[in-house]
Amino acid sequence: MNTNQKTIICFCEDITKEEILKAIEQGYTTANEIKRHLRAGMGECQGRGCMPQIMKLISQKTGKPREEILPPTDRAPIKPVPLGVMGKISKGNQKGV
Amino acid sequence: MKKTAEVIIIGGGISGCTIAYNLSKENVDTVLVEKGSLASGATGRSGSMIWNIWGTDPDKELAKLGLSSTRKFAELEEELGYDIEYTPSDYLTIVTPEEEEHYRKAMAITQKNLGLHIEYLKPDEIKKIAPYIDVDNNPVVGAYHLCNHRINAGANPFYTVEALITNAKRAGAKIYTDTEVTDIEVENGKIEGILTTKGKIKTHTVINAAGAWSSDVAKMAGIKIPTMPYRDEAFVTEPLMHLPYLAERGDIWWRQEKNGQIIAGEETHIIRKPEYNAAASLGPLQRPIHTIQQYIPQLGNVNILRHWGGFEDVTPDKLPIVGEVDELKGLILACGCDGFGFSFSQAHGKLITDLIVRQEKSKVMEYFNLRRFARKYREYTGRWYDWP
Ligand SMILES: Cc1cc2nc3c(=O)[nH]c(=O)nc-3n(C[C@H](O)[C@H](O)[C@H](O)COP(=O)(O)OP(=O)(O)OC[C@H]3O[C@@H](n4cnc5c(N)ncnc54)[C@H](O)[C@@H]3O)c2cc1C
Ligand code: FES
Repeated sequence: MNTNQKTIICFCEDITKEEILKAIEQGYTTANEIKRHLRAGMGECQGRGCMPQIMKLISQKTGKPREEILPPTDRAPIKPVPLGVMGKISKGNQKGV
Repeated sequence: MKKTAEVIIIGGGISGCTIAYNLSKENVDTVLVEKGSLASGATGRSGSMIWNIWGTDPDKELAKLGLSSTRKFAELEEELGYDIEYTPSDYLTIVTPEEEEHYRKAMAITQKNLGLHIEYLKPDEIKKIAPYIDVDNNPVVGAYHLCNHRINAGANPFYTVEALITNAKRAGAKIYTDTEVTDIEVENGKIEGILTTKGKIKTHTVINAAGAWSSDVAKMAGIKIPTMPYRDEAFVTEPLMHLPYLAERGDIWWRQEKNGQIIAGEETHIIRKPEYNAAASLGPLQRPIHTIQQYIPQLGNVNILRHWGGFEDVTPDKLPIVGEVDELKGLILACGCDGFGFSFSQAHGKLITDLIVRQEKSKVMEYFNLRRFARKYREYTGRWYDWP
């Protein structure tokens, strides 16, 4: 294997494994912090592609059990929704939920 | 944890971090305490537009403060040696017939107060520079266009805070995150220290930069301040090609981030019930969504990726509170920033540093002092909004 090749973990935001490991070393040791620091998990798939891997890396690097690493805060609408569609939903729901 | 500090800042948002950077740069022994992670309050949830409240607020001192802050922001990347995704952008305020009169007056005041030239564009001219704005099917009479002043911009709030704190730490500041301040010790009218979930630190000077929690923090020192948490929401879309304008229509604002995503929301005006529930809801977003779709119809097909809520810190006259508390010297306020705390942070940082390092009490700081809310001063700023 060519070790110069970078391993991309977050495809949407183009973030490598090295960047994530460096961030953990710098003290960003929760999924929320990594997300805010690197944008990993903020892409189109909203972290579905990368978050499990990132949480695994946090666990490996910090020695905390995998179950103790919490996922980042889920933000609506979970899956991307076109602005026009969202507008229709909220129109039918004037008071908001 | 350190046992003593010359100055303790409560709150690790843009206000607290800017102050920490400025103080430590001047060799003040500074500690910052944040109950969550840095920028976890309003700062990381904001639209992070760096703007002045162009034309919408006639208060001269506020406009001047905003201008000095936005100018400082333009130099921040170089000063801190950090990419904060600072993106300067021209500013367009779209005007409808009902607002024409109001804006003409307000913009004239803004121009005079700040000595800036703001261009007025007719619909045809809007089309030329921003063809994606649908002026034909909307009641648009014109737009105010503020360009080439390097004062309208956006920045990434997380990177900005990180840049400030990296520099502050380098200059010796100590930063404690995941540490909540639970009490402020006052003896014989003097601050003696703070209690936190991780221990006690002695100090005679505490800076309250706790944003929407500022009144709770002031209460710990026995001081009542009239700030209230006020909920606001925003959303972000998938990345798009470059749209060269920051814009507002009525109280709806939007801006494009450096990576092409559009972030939008609504300026807060009405005082809502204070509540600390940050869960996002669809209700407050319907106006921004509809307005944007109405004025830029193509955006109807663009995906919204996330939306979220956050808390602003609002005062009865919608002006910030900056400076010392008369009844308790040693307690310094840097709060009440409403929906423009990101933009104004650099000015607040400078004012507070001048106060602590040089004991300088500028006229501006006196203007924004807490004492204006005492009954006898109520007319001071000439503004008093409906307050629950
Ligand atoms: C949706 C939204 C959009 C916005 N858009 C813009 C914009 O485009 N431009 C703009 O200029 N402004 C905008 N704002 C406003 C701006 O975000 C705020 O005015 C600004 O971030 C306030 O910064 P702050 O540091 O004063 O407060 P905060 O960022 O809220 O920081 C206060 C910190 O204090 C901490 N804290 C509280 N109590 C304690 C305690 N007891 N012990 C320890 N720590 C404590 C909190 O955890 C918090 O991190 C927006 C706000 C929202 C919600
Ligand atoms: S892979 Fe990380 S956000 Fe999609």
